Amino acid sequence: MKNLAFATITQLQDLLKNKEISAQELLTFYLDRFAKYDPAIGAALDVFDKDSIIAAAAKSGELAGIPGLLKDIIAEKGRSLTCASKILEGYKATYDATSTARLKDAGAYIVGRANCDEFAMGSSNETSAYKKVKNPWDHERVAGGSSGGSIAAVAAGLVPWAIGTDTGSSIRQPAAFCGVVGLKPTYGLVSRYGVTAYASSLDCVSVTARTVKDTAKVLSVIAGKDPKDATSLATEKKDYAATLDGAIKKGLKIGVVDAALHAEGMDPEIVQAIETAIAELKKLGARIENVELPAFEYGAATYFILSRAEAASNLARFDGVRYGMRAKTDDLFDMYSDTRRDGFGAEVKRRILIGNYVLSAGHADAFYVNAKKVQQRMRQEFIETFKKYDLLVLPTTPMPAFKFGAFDTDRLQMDLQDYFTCPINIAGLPAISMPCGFTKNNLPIGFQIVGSHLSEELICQTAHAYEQVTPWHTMHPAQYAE
Amino acid sequence: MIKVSREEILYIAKLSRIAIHEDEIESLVDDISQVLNYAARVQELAATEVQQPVKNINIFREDTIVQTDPQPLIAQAPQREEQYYVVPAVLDSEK
Repeated sequence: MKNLAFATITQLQDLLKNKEISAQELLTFYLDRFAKYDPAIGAALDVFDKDSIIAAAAKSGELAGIPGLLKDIIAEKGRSLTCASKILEGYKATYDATSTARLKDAGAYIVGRANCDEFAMGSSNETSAYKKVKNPWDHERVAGGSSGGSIAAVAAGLVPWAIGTDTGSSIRQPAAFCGVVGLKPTYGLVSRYGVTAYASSLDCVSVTARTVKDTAKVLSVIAGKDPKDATSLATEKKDYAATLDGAIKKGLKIGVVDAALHAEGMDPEIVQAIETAIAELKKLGARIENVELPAFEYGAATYFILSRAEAASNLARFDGVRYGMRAKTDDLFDMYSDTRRDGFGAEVKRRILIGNYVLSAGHADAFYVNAKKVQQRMRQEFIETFKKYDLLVLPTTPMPAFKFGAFDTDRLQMDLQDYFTCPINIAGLPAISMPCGFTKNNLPIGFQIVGSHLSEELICQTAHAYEQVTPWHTMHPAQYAE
Repeated sequence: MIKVSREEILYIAKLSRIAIHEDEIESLVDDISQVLNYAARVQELAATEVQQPVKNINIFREDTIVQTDPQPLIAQAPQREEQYYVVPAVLDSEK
């Protein structure tokens, strides 16, 4: 059989349609790849058996027979849901998340649960209570996080698509680290129903694939209003892949956030790759101008406060009473606090403590209330900017994938990995991270294209046009080629 | 410079219902102080920003009854008796 490891969804759909391969054979092919390669990568916490995968999916639909992976914070009925945490070990979801249900209805095969940072809190996948995800391009380096398993599986050709989430960087940063596409939609475009909450006002179900078209196809299945999530937006069902014709919008005006691109600490190889990408966009016909976003530099601080505050509230429900693990003690207070001591990892505990600190009496005004004010300013600044520009270009990360343990003694620097991505969540905007080159050490580089609220079509159209004139989406880690 | 005290860490940990080992406190003081010091910069920008009233709108849906079976969830409780969750005695555990 032809090697389909890095085939696109469109190619696979053609093969299925022309009966050159059956959906079962296709599934077996990818399951074999998991068996062969994933022990070295650690992308999946669970790979399901073939029969149960097929039984869960509708027989026809937009993604019929196309295998993919779900991040282990998204519920699939009857399957384990651990959020890569010990506190939920053994817990099985009792219902489908809306995204899960829509993917199954579209005939997609959900082959397993993707590893991630514990409760999606981390930028390296090192906080997973089960195992680390290795970067398929260099096993000594992280895949990024928190959706590291989803991304690494796609980058290594174990599946053509995967679902992750993005609260501050979690689909875009690992996508940049592993050389694939990562799309964080507008807040509210995809339902959060059935997604374990980290920071509810920022969490976005997000898509990764190796091409923009594949990403758009998966987005088309999961996007749209859901009565079960009051924050989901009243949008019509749309085919986000339909408008991808290789051209960019006539007169497209792109703002380059120059202060970000040339920020202190930016890896010069990344700056160069993004400047080359900007030149490509210019060649495609875009008008490029530098743009200033003075509030942008407050994004990470705002994110640290809001995300930790919401996490502290959301994770209060894990108390040993109803599900997951429970510490053995005769005292109720000790039962709560020992369960949470033993069940949560260090990063999750730190974030809960910070969250309750910034919400506590005497500190809430200085931190939480002020962060909400800055959020308002940042949103307004983005809205004003998008009156003059169609899209913005930003780096995704200041550096390429780093080595395991690189930030063990400087956690703030780890948190600041989200510097270029989390302001986008603060403003609820859509953004895509696109591969745009490699460092001399053969590590992938990515950049972000950011749009106004609900501009996913324009973002995908532009990113797709860029992709058609660049080779990056055709390059895959050599050791997974066979 | 914000330097969170040991007492504050213990107080917040109690609010958070997370038991802390004595030997963790020092590194938590450092880690949390470092993040808060960085985060405190929001005060600069917020000083010139007047918070606008939030324009929230109610999202309603029909109040329809959907039958769900609670058993698969209750069956996963660490300790249960029929359809009840069992926890250590509440009244004798004041702390």
